Amino acid sequence: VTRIAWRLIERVSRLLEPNEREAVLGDFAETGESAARALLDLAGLLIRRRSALWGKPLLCSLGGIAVGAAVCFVLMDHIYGYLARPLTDSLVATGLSYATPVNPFDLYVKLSVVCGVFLASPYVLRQLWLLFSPHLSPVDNGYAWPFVLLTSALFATGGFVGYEWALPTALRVLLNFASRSRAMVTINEFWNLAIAVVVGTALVVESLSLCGFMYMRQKRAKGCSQT
Amino acid sequence: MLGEFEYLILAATACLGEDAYGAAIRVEMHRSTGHWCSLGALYTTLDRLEAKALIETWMGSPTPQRGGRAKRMVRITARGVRAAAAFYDTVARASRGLSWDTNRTRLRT
Repeated sequence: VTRIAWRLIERVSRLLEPNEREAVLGDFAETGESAARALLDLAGLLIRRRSALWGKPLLCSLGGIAVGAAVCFVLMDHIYGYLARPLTDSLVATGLSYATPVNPFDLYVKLSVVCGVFLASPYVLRQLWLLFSPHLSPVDNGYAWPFVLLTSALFATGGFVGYEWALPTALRVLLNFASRSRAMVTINEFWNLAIAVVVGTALVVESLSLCGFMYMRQKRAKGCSQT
Repeated sequence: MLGEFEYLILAATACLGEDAYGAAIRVEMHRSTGHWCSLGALYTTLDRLEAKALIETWMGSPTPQRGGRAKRMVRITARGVRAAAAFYDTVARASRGLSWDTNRTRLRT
Protein backbone atom coordinates (compact mmCIF):
# COMPACT_ATOMS: atom_id res chain seq x y z
CA VAL A 1 0.00 0.00 0.00
CA THR A 2 2.84 2.36 0.92
CA ARG A 3 4.56 1.71 -2.40
CA ILE A 4 1.33 2.43 -4.28
CA ALA A 5 0.81 5.62 -2.25
CA TRP A 6 4.34 6.85 -3.07
CA ARG A 7 3.81 6.05 -6.73
CA LEU A 8 0.60 8.08 -6.55
CA ILE A 9 2.47 10.96 -4.87
CA GLU A 10 5.09 10.82 -7.62
CA ARG A 11 2.36 10.98 -10.27
CA VAL A 12 0.24 13.67 -8.62
CA SER A 13 3.29 15.85 -7.92
CA ARG A 14 3.71 16.25 -11.71
CA LEU A 15 0.91 18.81 -11.51
CA LEU A 16 3.33 21.13 -9.66
CA GLU A 17 5.91 23.39 -11.29
CA PRO A 18 9.16 21.39 -11.89
CA ASN A 19 11.20 23.33 -9.26
CA GLU A 20 8.48 23.14 -6.66
CA ARG A 21 8.01 19.43 -7.33
CA GLU A 22 11.74 18.88 -6.80
CA ALA A 23 11.73 20.80 -3.51
CA VAL A 24 8.56 19.14 -2.19
CA LEU A 25 9.60 15.56 -2.99
CA GLY A 26 13.04 16.30 -1.51
CA ASP A 27 11.40 17.58 1.68
CA PHE A 28 9.33 14.40 1.96
CA ALA A 29 12.45 12.25 1.52
CA GLU A 30 14.48 14.28 4.03
CA THR A 31 11.87 14.42 6.79
CA GLY A 32 10.89 10.75 6.31
CA GLU A 33 7.23 11.67 6.17
CA SER A 34 4.66 8.86 6.04
CA ALA A 35 2.97 8.25 2.69
CA ALA A 36 -0.47 9.20 4.05
CA ARG A 37 0.80 12.46 5.54
CA ALA A 38 2.79 13.28 2.40
CA LEU A 39 -0.27 12.64 0.24
CA LEU A 40 -2.37 14.95 2.41
CA ASP A 41 0.32 17.65 2.33
CA LEU A 42 0.65 17.36 -1.43
CA ALA A 43 -3.13 17.49 -1.92
CA GLY A 44 -3.28 20.61 0.28
CA LEU A 45 -0.53 22.30 -1.73
CA LEU A 46 -2.19 21.43 -5.04
CA ILE A 47 -5.58 22.69 -3.89
CA ARG A 48 -4.01 25.97 -2.78
CA ARG A 49 -2.13 26.34 -6.08
CA ARG A 50 -5.20 25.50 -8.21
CA SER A 51 -7.56 27.73 -6.25
CA ALA A 52 -5.10 30.63 -6.56
CA LEU A 53 -4.98 30.01 -10.32
CA TRP A 54 -8.69 29.33 -10.88
CA GLY A 55 -10.28 31.50 -8.19
CA LYS A 56 -10.24 34.80 -10.09
CA PRO A 57 -11.39 33.54 -13.52
CA LEU A 58 -14.16 31.47 -11.94
CA LEU A 59 -15.36 34.33 -9.75
CA CYS A 60 -15.25 36.72 -12.73
CA SER A 61 -17.25 34.21 -14.81
CA LEU A 62 -19.89 33.91 -12.09
CA GLY A 63 -19.97 37.71 -11.79
CA GLY A 64 -20.43 38.04 -15.57
CA ILE A 65 -23.29 35.53 -15.52
CA ALA A 66 -24.87 37.33 -12.55
CA VAL A 67 -24.77 40.67 -14.41
CA GLY A 68 -26.18 39.02 -17.56
CA ALA A 69 -28.92 37.35 -15.50
CA ALA A 70 -29.83 40.67 -13.83
CA VAL A 71 -30.14 42.40 -17.22
CA CYS A 72 -32.25 39.52 -18.56
CA PHE A 73 -34.44 39.53 -15.44
CA VAL A 74 -35.28 43.19 -16.03
CA LEU A 75 -36.18 42.44 -19.67
CA MET A 76 -37.80 39.07 -18.92
CA ASP A 77 -41.34 40.05 -19.96
CA HIS A 78 -40.12 40.71 -23.53
CA ILE A 79 -37.75 37.73 -23.53
CA TYR A 80 -40.46 35.40 -22.22
CA GLY A 81 -42.90 36.54 -24.92
CA TYR A 82 -40.33 35.63 -27.57
CA LEU A 83 -39.16 32.38 -25.98
CA ALA A 84 -42.69 31.09 -25.35
CA ARG A 85 -43.62 31.21 -29.05
CA PRO A 86 -42.87 27.54 -29.94
CA LEU A 87 -44.69 26.59 -26.77
CA THR A 88 -47.84 28.56 -27.48
CA ASP A 89 -47.82 27.27 -31.09
CA SER A 90 -47.71 23.65 -29.92
CA LEU A 91 -49.89 23.85 -26.85
CA VAL A 92 -52.28 26.46 -28.11
CA ALA A 93 -55.35 24.48 -27.06
CA THR A 94 -54.21 23.54 -23.59
CA GLY A 95 -51.80 26.17 -22.39
CA LEU A 96 -49.48 25.65 -19.43
CA SER A 97 -50.37 25.33 -15.79
CA TYR A 98 -48.43 25.85 -12.59
CA ALA A 99 -48.78 24.10 -9.28
CA THR A 100 -47.66 26.69 -6.73
CA PRO A 101 -47.73 30.51 -6.73
CA VAL A 102 -43.93 30.72 -6.68
CA ASN A 103 -43.54 28.68 -9.90
CA PRO A 104 -43.71 31.68 -12.28
CA PHE A 105 -41.13 33.59 -10.24
CA ASP A 106 -38.86 30.52 -10.12
CA LEU A 107 -39.20 30.25 -13.85
CA TYR A 108 -38.28 33.90 -14.44
CA VAL A 109 -35.16 33.48 -12.30
CA LYS A 110 -34.19 30.24 -14.05
CA LEU A 111 -34.71 31.73 -17.52
CA SER A 112 -32.80 34.87 -16.52
CA VAL A 113 -29.80 32.76 -15.51
CA VAL A 114 -29.88 30.74 -18.76
CA CYS A 115 -30.22 33.89 -20.87
CA GLY A 116 -27.49 35.48 -18.72
CA VAL A 117 -25.15 32.61 -19.66
CA PHE A 118 -25.83 33.28 -23.35
CA LEU A 119 -25.42 37.03 -22.93
CA ALA A 120 -22.19 36.75 -20.92
CA SER A 121 -20.75 33.86 -22.97
CA PRO A 122 -17.95 35.90 -24.67
CA TYR A 123 -16.78 37.17 -21.26
CA VAL A 124 -17.11 33.74 -19.61
CA LEU A 125 -15.21 32.08 -22.46
CA ARG A 126 -12.47 34.71 -22.20
CA GLN A 127 -12.15 33.92 -18.46
CA LEU A 128 -12.05 30.19 -19.18
CA TRP A 129 -9.32 30.81 -21.74
CA LEU A 130 -7.31 32.74 -19.12
CA LEU A 131 -7.63 29.68 -16.88
CA PHE A 132 -5.85 27.46 -19.37
CA SER A 133 -3.61 30.03 -21.05
CA PRO A 134 -0.59 29.41 -18.73
CA HIS A 135 -0.49 25.84 -20.09
CA LEU A 136 -0.71 26.91 -23.75
CA SER A 137 2.11 27.90 -26.09
CA PRO A 138 2.48 31.54 -27.26
CA VAL A 139 1.22 30.47 -30.72
CA ASP A 140 -1.94 28.96 -29.14
CA ASN A 141 -2.43 32.06 -27.01
CA GLY A 142 -2.46 34.13 -30.21
CA TYR A 143 -5.79 32.45 -31.05
CA ALA A 144 -7.44 33.68 -27.85
CA TRP A 145 -9.78 36.30 -29.33
CA PRO A 146 -10.67 34.39 -32.54
CA PHE A 147 -11.45 31.34 -30.36
CA VAL A 148 -13.54 33.33 -27.89
CA LEU A 149 -15.52 35.16 -30.60
CA LEU A 150 -16.04 32.08 -32.77
CA THR A 151 -17.07 29.91 -29.82
CA SER A 152 -19.51 32.55 -28.53
CA ALA A 153 -21.01 32.91 -32.01
CA LEU A 154 -21.37 29.12 -32.30
CA PHE A 155 -22.91 28.93 -28.81
CA ALA A 156 -25.49 31.58 -29.73
CA THR A 157 -26.12 29.92 -33.12
CA GLY A 158 -26.58 26.54 -31.43
CA GLY A 159 -29.04 28.07 -28.98
CA PHE A 160 -30.97 29.69 -31.84
CA VAL A 161 -31.08 26.42 -33.85
CA GLY A 162 -32.17 24.55 -30.71
CA TYR A 163 -34.94 27.05 -30.09
CA GLU A 164 -36.14 27.47 -33.68
CA TRP A 165 -35.85 23.89 -34.88
CA ALA A 166 -34.99 21.29 -32.23
CA LEU A 167 -37.47 22.44 -29.60
CA PRO A 168 -40.59 22.69 -31.84
CA THR A 169 -39.67 19.35 -33.45
CA ALA A 170 -39.19 17.71 -30.06
CA LEU A 171 -42.51 19.14 -28.85
CA ARG A 172 -44.38 17.94 -31.93
CA VAL A 173 -42.94 14.44 -31.65
CA LEU A 174 -43.50 14.16 -27.90
CA LEU A 175 -47.05 15.53 -27.93
CA ASN A 176 -48.05 13.29 -30.85
CA PHE A 177 -47.41 10.20 -28.71
CA ALA A 178 -50.62 10.87 -26.85
CA SER A 179 -52.63 12.84 -29.36
CA ARG A 180 -55.99 11.60 -27.95
CA SER A 181 -55.21 12.72 -24.45
CA ARG A 182 -55.27 16.23 -23.11
CA ALA A 183 -51.84 17.52 -22.12
CA MET A 184 -51.50 19.14 -18.72
CA VAL A 185 -47.98 20.41 -18.89
CA THR A 186 -46.69 22.54 -16.03
CA ILE A 187 -44.48 25.51 -16.82
CA ASN A 188 -41.55 24.05 -14.88
CA GLU A 189 -41.65 20.73 -16.74
CA PHE A 190 -41.95 22.46 -20.07
CA TRP A 191 -39.14 24.94 -19.47
CA ASN A 192 -36.84 22.28 -18.05
CA LEU A 193 -37.23 20.42 -21.34
CA ALA A 194 -36.83 23.63 -23.36
CA ILE A 195 -33.68 24.66 -21.47
CA ALA A 196 -32.18 21.16 -21.84
CA VAL A 197 -32.82 21.14 -25.62
CA VAL A 198 -31.62 24.72 -26.26
CA VAL A 199 -28.52 24.59 -24.02
CA GLY A 200 -27.71 21.05 -25.19
CA THR A 201 -27.82 22.08 -28.86
CA ALA A 202 -25.78 25.21 -28.09
CA LEU A 203 -23.08 23.15 -26.34
CA VAL A 204 -22.91 20.62 -29.18
CA VAL A 205 -22.53 23.35 -31.82
CA GLU A 206 -20.04 25.24 -29.60
CA SER A 207 -17.87 22.14 -29.24
CA LEU A 208 -17.14 22.36 -33.00
CA SER A 209 -14.89 25.32 -32.27
CA LEU A 210 -13.04 23.37 -29.56
CA CYS A 211 -12.62 20.38 -31.88
CA GLY A 212 -11.28 22.71 -34.59
CA PHE A 213 -8.80 24.25 -32.16
CA MET A 214 -7.59 20.83 -30.97
CA TYR A 215 -7.27 19.64 -34.58
CA MET A 216 -5.15 22.69 -35.46
CA ARG A 217 -2.91 22.10 -32.43
CA GLN A 218 -2.41 18.46 -33.35
CA LYS A 219 -1.68 19.33 -36.97
CA ARG A 220 0.89 21.91 -35.92
CA ALA A 221 2.52 19.48 -33.49
CA LYS A 222 2.78 16.87 -36.28
CA GLY A 223 4.26 19.49 -38.61
CA CYS A 224 6.87 20.40 -35.97
CA SER A 225 7.85 16.77 -35.32
CA GLN A 226 8.26 16.12 -39.08
CA THR A 227 10.57 19.13 -39.51
CA MET B 1 1.56 44.59 8.10
CA LEU B 2 2.60 40.94 8.20
CA GLY B 3 0.31 38.06 9.10
CA GLU B 4 1.16 35.89 12.08
CA PHE B 5 2.11 32.90 9.90
CA GLU B 6 4.25 35.10 7.68
CA TYR B 7 6.05 36.41 10.76
CA LEU B 8 6.71 32.86 11.99
CA ILE B 9 8.24 31.93 8.65
CA LEU B 10 10.40 35.06 8.61
CA ALA B 11 11.54 34.36 12.18
CA ALA B 12 12.42 30.73 11.36
CA THR B 13 14.25 31.83 8.21
CA ALA B 14 16.25 34.45 10.11
CA CYS B 15 17.04 31.92 12.83
CA LEU B 16 18.32 29.32 10.33
CA GLY B 17 20.45 31.85 8.40
CA GLU B 18 22.22 30.24 5.44
CA ASP B 19 20.60 26.84 6.11
CA ALA B 20 17.01 27.98 5.60
CA TYR B 21 15.00 25.89 3.14
CA GLY B 22 11.50 24.31 3.06
CA ALA B 23 11.95 21.27 5.33
CA ALA B 24 14.31 23.05 7.77
CA ILE B 25 11.88 25.97 8.16
CA ARG B 26 9.06 23.52 8.92
CA VAL B 27 11.15 21.80 11.60
CA GLU B 28 12.18 25.15 13.09
CA MET B 29 8.56 26.34 13.19
CA HIS B 30 7.54 23.08 14.87
CA ARG B 31 10.30 23.62 17.46
CA SER B 32 9.11 27.15 18.26
CA THR B 33 5.32 26.69 18.07
CA GLY B 34 4.82 22.99 18.85
CA HIS B 35 2.72 22.50 15.70
CA TRP B 36 3.57 21.13 12.27
CA CYS B 37 2.51 23.54 9.56
CA SER B 38 1.17 22.10 6.31
CA LEU B 39 3.46 22.03 3.33
CA GLY B 40 0.83 23.80 1.22
CA ALA B 41 0.62 26.69 3.67
CA LEU B 42 4.42 26.92 3.84
CA TYR B 43 5.12 26.98 0.11
CA THR B 44 2.25 29.30 -0.80
CA THR B 45 3.30 31.72 1.97
CA LEU B 46 6.91 31.59 0.77
CA ASP B 47 5.66 32.65 -2.66
CA ARG B 48 3.65 35.48 -1.15
CA LEU B 49 6.63 36.69 0.91
CA GLU B 50 8.85 36.54 -2.16
CA ALA B 51 6.30 38.55 -4.15
CA LYS B 52 6.43 41.19 -1.39
CA ALA B 53 10.27 41.12 -1.63
CA LEU B 54 10.56 40.10 2.04
CA ILE B 55 12.54 36.95 1.18
CA GLU B 56 14.59 35.63 -1.73
CA THR B 57 14.49 32.00 -2.84
CA TRP B 58 16.58 29.94 -5.22
CA MET B 59 17.13 26.27 -5.98
CA GLY B 60 20.09 24.72 -4.17
CA SER B 61 22.10 21.72 -5.27
CA PRO B 62 20.71 18.15 -4.93
CA THR B 63 21.75 16.14 -1.84
CA PRO B 64 21.78 12.34 -1.27
CA GLN B 65 19.68 12.49 1.96
CA ARG B 66 16.91 14.12 -0.10
CA GLY B 67 16.95 11.34 -2.71
CA GLY B 68 18.98 13.50 -5.08
CA ARG B 69 16.42 16.29 -5.01
CA ALA B 70 17.31 19.98 -4.76
CA LYS B 71 16.27 22.29 -1.89
CA ARG B 72 14.39 25.54 -2.23
CA MET B 73 16.76 27.80 -0.30
CA VAL B 74 15.37 30.89 1.43
CA ARG B 75 17.02 34.10 2.59
CA ILE B 76 15.39 37.00 4.43
CA THR B 77 15.91 40.40 2.79
CA ALA B 78 16.58 43.73 4.55
CA ARG B 79 12.97 44.66 3.86
CA GLY B 80 11.88 41.36 5.43
CA VAL B 81 13.91 42.12 8.55
CA ARG B 82 12.27 45.55 8.83
CA ALA B 83 8.77 44.07 8.35
CA ALA B 84 9.40 41.36 11.00
CA ALA B 85 10.80 43.94 13.45
CA ALA B 86 7.79 46.20 12.88
CA PHE B 87 5.41 43.27 13.49
CA TYR B 88 7.25 42.30 16.68
CA ASP B 89 7.18 45.92 17.96
CA THR B 90 3.46 46.17 17.24
CA VAL B 91 2.70 42.94 19.13
CA ALA B 92 4.95 44.01 22.04
CA ARG B 93 3.30 47.48 22.22
CA ALA B 94 -0.20 46.02 21.96
CA SER B 95 0.56 43.52 24.74
CA ARG B 96 2.08 46.04 27.21
CA GLY B 97 0.26 46.03 30.53
CA LEU B 98 -1.94 43.07 29.67
CA SER B 99 -2.30 40.26 32.21
CA TRP B 100 -0.30 37.71 30.21
CA ASP B 101 2.49 40.23 29.65
CA THR B 102 2.76 41.32 33.32
CA ASN B 103 2.50 37.71 34.60
CA ARG B 104 5.28 36.77 32.25
CA THR B 105 7.45 39.66 33.54
CA ARG B 106 6.70 38.65 37.13
CA LEU B 107 7.61 35.05 36.38
CA ARG B 108 10.89 36.15 34.85
CA THR B 109 11.80 38.29 37.89
